[in-house]
Amino acid sequence: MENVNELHLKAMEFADQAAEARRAGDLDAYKRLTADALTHEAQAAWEAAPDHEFEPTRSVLFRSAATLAVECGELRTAEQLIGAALSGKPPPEIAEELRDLLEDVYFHRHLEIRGVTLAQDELQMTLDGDAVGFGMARSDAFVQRVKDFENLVYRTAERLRGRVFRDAGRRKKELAESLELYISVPRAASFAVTLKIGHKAQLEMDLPGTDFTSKTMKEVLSGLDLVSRGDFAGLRQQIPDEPYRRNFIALAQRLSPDGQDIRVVGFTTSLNQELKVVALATPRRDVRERLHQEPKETAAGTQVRHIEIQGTLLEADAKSQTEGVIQVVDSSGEIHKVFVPRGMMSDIVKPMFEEEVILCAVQKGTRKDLESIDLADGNDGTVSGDEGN
Amino acid sequence: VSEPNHQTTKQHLSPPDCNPIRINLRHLGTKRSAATCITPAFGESLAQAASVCLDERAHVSPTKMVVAGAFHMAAQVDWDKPSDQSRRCWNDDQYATEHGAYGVAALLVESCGLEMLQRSKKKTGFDFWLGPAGSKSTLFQGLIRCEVSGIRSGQALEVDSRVRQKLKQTERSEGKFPAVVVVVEFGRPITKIVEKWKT
Repeated sequence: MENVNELHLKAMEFADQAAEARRAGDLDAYKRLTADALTHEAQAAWEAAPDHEFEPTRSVLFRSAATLAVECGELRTAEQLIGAALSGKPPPEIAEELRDLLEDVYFHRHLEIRGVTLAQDELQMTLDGDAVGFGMARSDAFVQRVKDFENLVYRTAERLRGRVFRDAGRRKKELAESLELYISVPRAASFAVTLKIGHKAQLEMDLPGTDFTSKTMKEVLSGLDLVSRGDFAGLRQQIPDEPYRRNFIALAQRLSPDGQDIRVVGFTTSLNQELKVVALATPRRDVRERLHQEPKETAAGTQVRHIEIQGTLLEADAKSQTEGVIQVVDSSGEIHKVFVPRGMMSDIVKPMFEEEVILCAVQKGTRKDLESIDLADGNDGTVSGDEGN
Repeated sequence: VSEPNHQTTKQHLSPPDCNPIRINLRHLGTKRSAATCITPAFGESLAQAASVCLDERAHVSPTKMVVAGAFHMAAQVDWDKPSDQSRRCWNDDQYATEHGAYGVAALLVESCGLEMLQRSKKKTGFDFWLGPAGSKSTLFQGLIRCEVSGIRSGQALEVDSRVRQKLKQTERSEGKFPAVVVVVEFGRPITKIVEKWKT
């Protein structure tokens, strides 16, 4: 086993160096060193493979090598390594992690662009989950996400143009015409479509996109990437303006998987001749949890309560320039008045009027401020919360 | 077909014998036992990450830290103020927090009689495997799994919630692996260390 140990140690050394290279922004070195780590870890795993009783070492080595293979984009290798690990006698915990990794591998496979060339202003949106068949998807799961993605594109474009966040009113005609969203015929990947940002003249003339559309696309994807990783501090740097940032998070949350029906939402694009993939795999509920965990700016000693209210969204008042107000009636008939910060009302809250919703708010004294809102899945209206300060 | 016995010899965290517990981040880059998987180079890197986190939260060395969970004690964290270059190098908050937490956790488990002997690659970084200090294990055989997580700045409730989340991850299958969960919060700072044994 000495050789296995040496190979594993070498692999971890390469993995460290790869991490250092990535932090230094040297992507070529990162890729090369991760590939070196994979070579050594895979070799260690295959050397340990014949002894099925050598657990957990056997399956841990395979899992480690498969993780490196996914990082390298070697999906077939990852599949083989996971298969070899599961064919042995892995401890249940490691077996569970290997299955999770295999789901990742298959999702990345769905994100691959097969037989389709993406132009500079195009991206592929892929959905996967129980509401998706081979080339078919439940219409609401798909249509709502296209609508939310469109909102995300326009809001980002308005922000990049330096416009103040638009709480009400239509988009400027000039912007709406220059950034129209077009959808291709769906493809059977899980369910994949190409979305193109451009305008009619561009489509007809088949001209490459303007720098502005590419910049918008890049900005949207990098923001989605930050939300998917739970890096809200990074998002704060990318979008310093609070209403825009709040709006971005809320729309990204709506795009995120809802659990079983849609388990993953992926975006693949070709920016500067390099494929960029952003996979939203964190369920909305977990994104909400992460948001709760974000530090809040409150005066010392102020009692803050996180509450969750489920009920019918009845009416809204968006006359104020700084915040709106909504009322939610829970199953006991109690009316909850909740303040809606700028950035949330028009794209997020208004489309849910008269619907059963579940909302998270921060309560300070009697005042409740909305943090996030989503359509409820049909349970009875309730209020719950936990204390903090 | 017989299933292999994955049970680990029962090894517990021993309460540290000095109060406050001394957590000297400088030792990560120098005083390393040959058995640990944390090499001086990797340790130096972890120490830098932890220092950047502590410095960003406006602490100065030595820093008092609360250790809770398996035992309740005070700790003193000694560290070097990071250079500007180091701050720029560790400017990815999430990455720095995670690696800083690895560093603090490594020293804390060492003061409890265990040592990080192996690590393996996982989706979000590394996971660590613990054994009695100085022992020579055959790779991962007989080791205890250690889940480490970092929070840059949060409340005690968030630390508890992260510990619960990590324990839940280790509970989702019917496995019998023992586990140690360490969550390091750099704002106060507070570290919660919990061990879980399945029977």
